[in-house]
Amino acid sequence: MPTFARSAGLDFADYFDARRPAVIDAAHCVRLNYEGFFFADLWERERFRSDPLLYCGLLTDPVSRTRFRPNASSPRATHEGVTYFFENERNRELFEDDAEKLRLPGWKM
Amino acid sequence: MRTHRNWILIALLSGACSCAAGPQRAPEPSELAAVSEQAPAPATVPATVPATVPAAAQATAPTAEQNAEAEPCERPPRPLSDDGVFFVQSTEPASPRVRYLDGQVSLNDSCAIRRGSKLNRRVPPIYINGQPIGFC
Repeated sequence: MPTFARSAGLDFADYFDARRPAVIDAAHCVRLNYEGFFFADLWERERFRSDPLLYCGLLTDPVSRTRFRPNASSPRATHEGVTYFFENERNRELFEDDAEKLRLPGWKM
Repeated sequence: MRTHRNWILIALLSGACSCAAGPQRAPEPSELAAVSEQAPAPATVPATVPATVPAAAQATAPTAEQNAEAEPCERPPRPLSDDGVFFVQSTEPASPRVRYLDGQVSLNDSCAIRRGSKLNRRVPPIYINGQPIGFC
């Protein structure tokens, strides 16, 4: 994700503070589902990680590809260090059946 | 009696012509009072009914197309695209941004992978800091 964000050539502000530029590297990045969140410093990153459901907003379900707002009861799975939230339990089971295929958006570019 | 009936017909026809010429404002109460105090209608109608319609009036008379435009549209608006994702104008006309289903507009106006390529609205974006990045 940081590599892609750098290659896109776009500037991103800190997720919490739009006045500060985000640092685009793995140390300042948090991934949830297909979304990436970048922060200006590690303190902001840890603030996000302390309660991601409070701050993340809408996420993309990796199976149905729809945007939804996860809550504490949303099914979740962890794959290669990335937490994925799902709309329902069935999507979580489908993801775990083929996590390697669904872990990234995977569309042709 | 017969001439009086003719005057009434002329008055009715002149009213129909004035309606066809376009909408008119409602008469003020003072005007209505003035009309009621005037002489009987047959005496004044011939002076107000022109023999022929003036050329200027013909030029300004609304056509059927103009009347159709003035009427409120009864048909429902046609959707811009079948899936609700569509292009929006950006600074570069050749590479418009994409407005996605969640209402957000892509941060980039050309492909993030192939520089300069137009975005494909059918390719879902990825989100960085909550902002969509489009692809081609």
